[in-house]
Amino acid sequence: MQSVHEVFKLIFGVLASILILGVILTFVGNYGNAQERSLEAAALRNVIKSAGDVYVSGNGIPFRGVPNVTFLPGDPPTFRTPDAAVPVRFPLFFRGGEDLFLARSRLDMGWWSFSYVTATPRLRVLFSPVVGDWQQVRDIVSAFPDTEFFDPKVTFGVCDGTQLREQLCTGQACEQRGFRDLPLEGLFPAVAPCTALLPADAILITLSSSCPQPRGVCLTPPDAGGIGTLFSADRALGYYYKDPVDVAALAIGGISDVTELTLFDVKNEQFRTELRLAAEVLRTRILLITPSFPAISPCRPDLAAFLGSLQGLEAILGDEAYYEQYPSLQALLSALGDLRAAHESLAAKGCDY
Amino acid sequence: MEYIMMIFLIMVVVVGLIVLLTGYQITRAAADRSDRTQDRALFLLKQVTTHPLFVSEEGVLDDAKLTALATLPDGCARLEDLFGPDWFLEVETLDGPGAACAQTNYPACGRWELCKQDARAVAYDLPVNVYRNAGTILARDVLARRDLAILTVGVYGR
Repeated sequence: MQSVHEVFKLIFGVLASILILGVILTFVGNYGNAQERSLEAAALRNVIKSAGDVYVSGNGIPFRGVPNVTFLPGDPPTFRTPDAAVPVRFPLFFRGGEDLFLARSRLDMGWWSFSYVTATPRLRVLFSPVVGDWQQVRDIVSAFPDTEFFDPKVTFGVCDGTQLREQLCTGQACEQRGFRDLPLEGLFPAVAPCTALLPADAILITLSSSCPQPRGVCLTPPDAGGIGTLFSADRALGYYYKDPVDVAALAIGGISDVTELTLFDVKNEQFRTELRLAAEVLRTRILLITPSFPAISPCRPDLAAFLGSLQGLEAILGDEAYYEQYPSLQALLSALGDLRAAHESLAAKGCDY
Repeated sequence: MEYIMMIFLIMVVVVGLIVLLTGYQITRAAADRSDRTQDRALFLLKQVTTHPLFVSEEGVLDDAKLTALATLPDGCARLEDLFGPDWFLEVETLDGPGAACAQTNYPACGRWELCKQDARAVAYDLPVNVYRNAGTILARDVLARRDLAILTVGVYGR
């Protein structure tokens, strides 16, 4: 029979072992979780860093192993994992997926270009031009990335009634250039409203004179002023759009789960911030270089016209809600048109680069 | 007694391992933070040499744009809205007048500073060309020249 002392030593030893094991297991568990989250955060930073490299170089790259992230529209837009939040200081159109293709695109306005990066998984962009403006379709296609020679692919097709017509480029799905070069007017003289069942990786873009209950994204043709209305299945209210990049932003980004904002809102805010500063810098630049032209120089009238349009643009972009107001957008498109014309005249005459 | 001593020594070893691993994590986090600062400085350097706000063409800074940015009343804040906070830019031509550029002495100047503070920074230097407007030929065609300069872009903080 064991003595009390022996029993005490036994019990004490067991309790001490449990304590030591408990401490070790708790630490190992926490350390393991911390490492996993740290790897996720590092992966997120790598994605954003790669997107930044694409933004400055213009060379598209695929990216594999993207963590599950939440995109928070805001100022600045932020990407979050449970343990990291990375702000993004350049225009980035992001759609979640494990494998992404990062590419840079540009909205060229002549005197300025607005660059943005798209980060897209495998996407099938399907058009349903009930109102058959194929040139507008081609313009929207140009706002999406060109994934030729890369994966994952962004391909383009047509939804005609119950049929999905995608194998249009020598029996294969069309990428950007292939789809733009197709004789779409001849292939699809009339397109019925899309009622087909859409795959999970598809985005439907409908062009119609009215969008009562849109599937995906629906837009009305632009009016004489170049402004149309854009609707999303996720939101009751529509938006005004003024360029194909607006359509691409809404189609790629959708609506945030956390806020009411969309990538469309983020794009227009970034567009405003950049363009407003550009207008002010270029206006000051014109004031600095004008004295170097003699009074009789044929460049002076064009410089004055360019200056006046820049001042007008600054005033329009002073309003944060410019993209929600039809008169502001009308004035904006008019000013951008005047600036393009003035810049082309200056360049043609050799007055400026 | 010996059992208590043994348990005490085991706990010392276990706690020591925990402290070691935690210290390693802290050191790694500090190194990661430093790497991120360097990455950001390099990214800003690439942005400055390619963004149309600063350049006449890729790799060639525009002296009138730099002067405009340097003399805007809230230029630094506006740049921070676009490119983020806590960074600076400095351009200095290697030849010619070394005065800081203002709207009053343009183009007879050769130095531009944006968002400069007196603080520790991680910075990168790069030789660049600067497009200088040097007058006109026949009252129309712009006579441009390119000066060699050193571009410094940095991020504040370690």
